[in-house]
Order: sequence, then C-alpha cells, then structure tokens
Amino acid sequence: MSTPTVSAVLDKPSYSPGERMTLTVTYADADTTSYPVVVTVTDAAGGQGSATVNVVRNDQLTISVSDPTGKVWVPQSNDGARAVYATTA
Amino acid sequence: MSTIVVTVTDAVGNAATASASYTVSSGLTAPVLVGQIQTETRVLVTWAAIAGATGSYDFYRNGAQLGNTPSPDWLDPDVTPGVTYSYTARARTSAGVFGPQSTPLRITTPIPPPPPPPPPGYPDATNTGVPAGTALTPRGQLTITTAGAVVEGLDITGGVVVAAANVTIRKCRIRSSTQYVIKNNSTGLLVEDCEIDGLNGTGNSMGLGDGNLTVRRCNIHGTENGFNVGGPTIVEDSWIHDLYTGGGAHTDGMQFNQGASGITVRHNTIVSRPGSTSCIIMWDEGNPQNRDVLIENNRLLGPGAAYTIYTPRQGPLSNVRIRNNRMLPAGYGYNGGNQALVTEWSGNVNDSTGAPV
Repeated sequence: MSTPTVSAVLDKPSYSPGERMTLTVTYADADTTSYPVVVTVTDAAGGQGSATVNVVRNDQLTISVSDPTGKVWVPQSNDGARAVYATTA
Repeated sequence: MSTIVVTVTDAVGNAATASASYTVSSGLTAPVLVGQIQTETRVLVTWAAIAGATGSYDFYRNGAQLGNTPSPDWLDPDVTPGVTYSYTARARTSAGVFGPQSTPLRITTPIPPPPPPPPPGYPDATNTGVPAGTALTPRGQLTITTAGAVVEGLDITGGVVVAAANVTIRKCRIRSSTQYVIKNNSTGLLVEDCEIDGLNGTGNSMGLGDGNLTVRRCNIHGTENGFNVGGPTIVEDSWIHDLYTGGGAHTDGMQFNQGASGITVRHNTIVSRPGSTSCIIMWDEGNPQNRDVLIENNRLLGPGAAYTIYTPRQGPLSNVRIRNNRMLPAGYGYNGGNQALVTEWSGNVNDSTGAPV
C-alpha cells in the first residue's frame, strides 16, 4: 500500500473578520482494488455466453482538517480528488 | 498567522499531510499609551479608544499581562518608587481577534524625597542627660532623707527614693530595674540633666513618679512608662524614648493617674517605639478627671504606638490645654479620646508635613 498525496490551498492569504474562507484539498492515492464483474447473456432458448470485466476502484481516503484557532471547516463538496471546505474569518 | 493542517488517511492508516496558513486582520490599530505618575507607587496609563475594539484591552507590564479592561485606561496601584516599568496594551474585537501591541511606554517612578530632618532645638541625645565631661562617682541605691539636699555627679545603680522636701538631683546617671528609678515621696523635687535608665525592667516600671516634682533636660529610657504622674509635675526639655515594650507591657511616655492636676509637659520629645500604647495617656476612667493640664511645644512621635495622645472619653475636664505640639500619628490616629472635651486643642501640627492636626 502506498501513501496518499495531498495539497491544501486557501483562496486568500489574509481575511477580514467575518469574511468567507475557502480551503481546497486535492488528494490522490495510487492504490486501487480490482473487482471482477461477470456479464452473462442468455437467449430465449436458454443459451448463454459470458464475459468477465475487471472494475478498478481507488481505495477510500479520509480527510481531516485541523485549525489551531478552533474554526470549524465545513465540507462543501468532494469529488474524490478534490474536496472544498469553508468557514468564516 | 494561523496554519491549517489537512490530513488524508487511507484505509490502512497511511497518512499524508499538507498545510495552509492565513491571517485574519483585526482592523484594529495599536493604542498609543500616555502615562501619568500619580504618586511614587501609582501610575495611571491611558490611551485613546481604538475604533472597532468591541472586546476589551489587554494590558501588560514588563511583558506580563496584568489584566484586561473595557475602558482605555489602567491604574497600576502597586509600583515601586525608583523603578522603570514598560507598559503595553492591545485591543481586541468581540470575536477575540487582537490588534497590534502598542509601542512600550516606559515610566520611571520617582523616589520620594527623604523626610525632613527633625526640627532643631528639640530634646534628643545631644541636649539631654548628663552633660558630656561630667565626672560621675559610682554608688548603690540611694534614699534621700535630708530636706534641701543636692545630689550631683553620681552614677547610681539601684534607684533613688526621695523622702525629704526640696531635694535636687542633678547631673546623675540613675539605673534601676526596680519599679521606680526615681520615686518621690515628698514635695519639691527637682531633677535636672540626668539619665534615667530602667534597664528594660519588667513589672510596670516607672522612670519617675508620682508627682510633686520638676524634671528638666533628662534622658529617660528603658522603663515601661517614662512618668507616672500622680500629682503636680513639670517636665521640660526632656527626651523620653526607647521604653520597654516586652512582656505585655502597657507602655506610655507619660501616664496620668486619676485626679492628677497641675501638670505641665513642655518642649519635650516623646518617641513611642512599636508596641507602645501612647506618648501621653490621661486618666480615662471614673471621676475625678485630670485638670489644669498644659501640654505644649512638644514633639510627640507616635507611629509605633496605638495613640499619640489619649485624652479622656468622659468629662468633665477642667483647663486641659494641648497646643502647639508637633505630632506623628499612631496606629489609631493622633488622639484616642474625646477631643471635644479638651479645653483647648490648637496649633498642633504633623511633624513631617506641618499640616494641622
């Protein structure tokens, strides 16, 4: 199993009190798991043919955000490679 | 600046971290401190209110926070004279966001001026007691039974009892730990230029008593009470000091007995050491009270005592005058009694400041 990769970027380096803050986390993991999928076709007379397809899925990753000021970063979206969090300055 | 840490962990615990830093500007400006030295031990620091400082101001002395205040000022009531202090403050919002720290304000508290020297001419070690160069002849306890006798130039150990009229004791050192250093059982006793030393004796010891005597330029110390006044007494130009205060002593420079009258206390220095009761305490129980009392032009220094002077709390008093004395207050003030009963209380001042007492 390999180590994931991650980067974190804020939309701004400095905020005014009350301003919305947005954090974008981009992440990835080289590890995958293959799942064989068997496709079977059957005709009216009962004849069958089948084929096997391998489906590859990335391993599941957990993201945590820690802010020493105690701000709570709320998840906004996550497409599996990029997660967006937001809070208020 | 704050730094966020993002951690990504896979199913088996492999983790990666990334960080991102940010600042939240407060919009606050730094206070500009102004100091005011109120006394040698009190400093007031103020500043103009900072716009947006909806929280409070944190205040620091020498880098350590003293506290916070909602108003733009801080009174530091406990500084040491002659020390330099560095004060800073910073504002914060109600959300807890701090503004920048102020530029340090350095304040050096002043050193109070030394107390003024004692006024010249009052009795002290230089002008009381046996004059320098006087030759003294040692002898033991002395009982004087000859009327008009003059005793001079003796160094007496064991005390003196006067049993004859119009005796003069002059230029003598008299030391005794008995109840009285000089006990007058007659009339017309004159004691001049003598040192009266009670040797810190216990047991209600008296320097001189109990009346019918005149004392001038004497140095009286080491007894529990300088004088026990039971009858007419004149004390002038004498120094009463360093009295015995141990063992439950009730130490007074002079204590007046019930009904004693004809008492003049003029131009003496009476100093109460810690643990004393008073410089002068008058009779304070049932009648008859003291009468015909004049206490004037003395230095009555009572800081170590409970009272500088104690006049009766009940009357009637007759012709009791306390005037033109220099005083320092004792633990309970200048006068522990009912001053309104005194015939005259005037011209008395604080020995250090000259302020009326």
